Amino acid sequence: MIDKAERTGFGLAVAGHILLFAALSMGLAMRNAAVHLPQDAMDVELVGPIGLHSSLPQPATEAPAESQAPEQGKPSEADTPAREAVAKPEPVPTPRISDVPALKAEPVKRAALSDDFIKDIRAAAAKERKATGKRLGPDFLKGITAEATNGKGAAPRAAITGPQMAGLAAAIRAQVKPCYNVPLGGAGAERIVTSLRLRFNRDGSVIGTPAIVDHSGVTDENQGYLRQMDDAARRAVLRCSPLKLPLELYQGGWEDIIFDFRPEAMQ
Amino acid sequence: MQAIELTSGSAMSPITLFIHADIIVKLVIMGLIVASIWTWTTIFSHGRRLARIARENEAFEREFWKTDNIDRFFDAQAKRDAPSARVFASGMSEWRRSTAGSNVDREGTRARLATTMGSTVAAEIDRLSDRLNILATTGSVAPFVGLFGTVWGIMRSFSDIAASQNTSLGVVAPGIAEALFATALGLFAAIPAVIAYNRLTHRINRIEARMHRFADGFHTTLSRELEGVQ
Repeated sequence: MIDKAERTGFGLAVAGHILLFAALSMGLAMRNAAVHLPQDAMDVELVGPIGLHSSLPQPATEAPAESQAPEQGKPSEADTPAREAVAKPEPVPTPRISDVPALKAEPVKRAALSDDFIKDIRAAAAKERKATGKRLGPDFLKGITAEATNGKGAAPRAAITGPQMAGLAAAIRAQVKPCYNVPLGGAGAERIVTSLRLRFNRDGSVIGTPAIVDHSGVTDENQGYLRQMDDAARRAVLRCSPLKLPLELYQGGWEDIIFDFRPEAMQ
Repeated sequence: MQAIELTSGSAMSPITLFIHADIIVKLVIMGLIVASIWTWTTIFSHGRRLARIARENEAFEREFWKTDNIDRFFDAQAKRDAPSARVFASGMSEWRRSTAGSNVDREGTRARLATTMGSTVAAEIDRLSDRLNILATTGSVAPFVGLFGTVWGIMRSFSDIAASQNTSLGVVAPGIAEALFATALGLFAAIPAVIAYNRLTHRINRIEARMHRFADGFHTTLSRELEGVQ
């Protein structure tokens, strides 16, 4: 039983729906999606304070020899007059400055400051210089050479601090990451952490083939992927060799390290 | 693959969402669109019909109460379409049949008149509320159907995640968006249906009450008239 009223109603309903969907399709109801600028993803990991550890068989437990810089004499005050000259405003602006009208007012403003002001600053600076001790000379490393050490190692490994090690680990990870092809694996294969012993040349290239010294995260399920994950980790390091690492941390730092390769952090 | 297509451009257009949806979700979406069209058809046709009937009833009753001679009025107006006119016609024809003979049973006539007019009112109301159950059904079922589509779509996107081993939001989001589209459509169909159902039911109740009042008034008149019949 479809009468006229129903036919009209049906027509109205269909027309209304078509209009509504057309409007939605043409984006009338669409929000202007915020423009997403590409963001540099920041890796946040929950790992131990040191992702990297020294490969020295017996880590040196003794404190490293104190860093004693050689005396350089009293801190020189020779540059003080020069600073004074700079600090004091020139009554007559140089022609270069006077070209710019906006800068003209500046000398006047500075002149308004009392002389005590500059004196206070200089006194504070001098005090600070005294408090920090001797200025380091070019041979400041003399104190941490082997003969002055009471540690066992030839060079004290502990000289590289934990945060520095962590930074090194992050640097290595960041550089190896692009070379890492995620192996196809299921069953939690990416949880296998492969500890690689990496020995580097000074230029950052890896010496030989990285040896696998340890694993963690291996379960019954992902055992089958162990080899595959190891090979992938080794390949990634070799492909990205040479790495660019801070040279000052080479000695006792990244020259011979054990790097925990976490596939989860590499993806 | 889907993620790239969807996140670029008009990701939220209904057509895009529909095209990318799973076959089950597609069925749900189409069913809900049909339900929505049906709902609005009912709303439009019933709304207009009820308005027209209320108007006709009112006009008829005004004319009826103004008339002096009911017999002549009946002969002139018997073919009118208003439900009140039909109640009037049924009462009138029963009256004529009951009073045609020489021996009039007054009590029986009263009872017959009341029954006839009451059943005519009921029949008219039945006819008016014929398809309102569509609205009630849509209003109560459409959200669940939409929810079913959503649950199915989310299940599917989760299994996609499990298959691709990639949990980034770009993989998850489009599937969930198209799944939620089903719930949105369910609500889109259900909300007007529920509102219209309550509103139309209320109007039909008013029409029914008015027709009952008219039937009672007419019954009273006839029953008074019955006193004078031999």
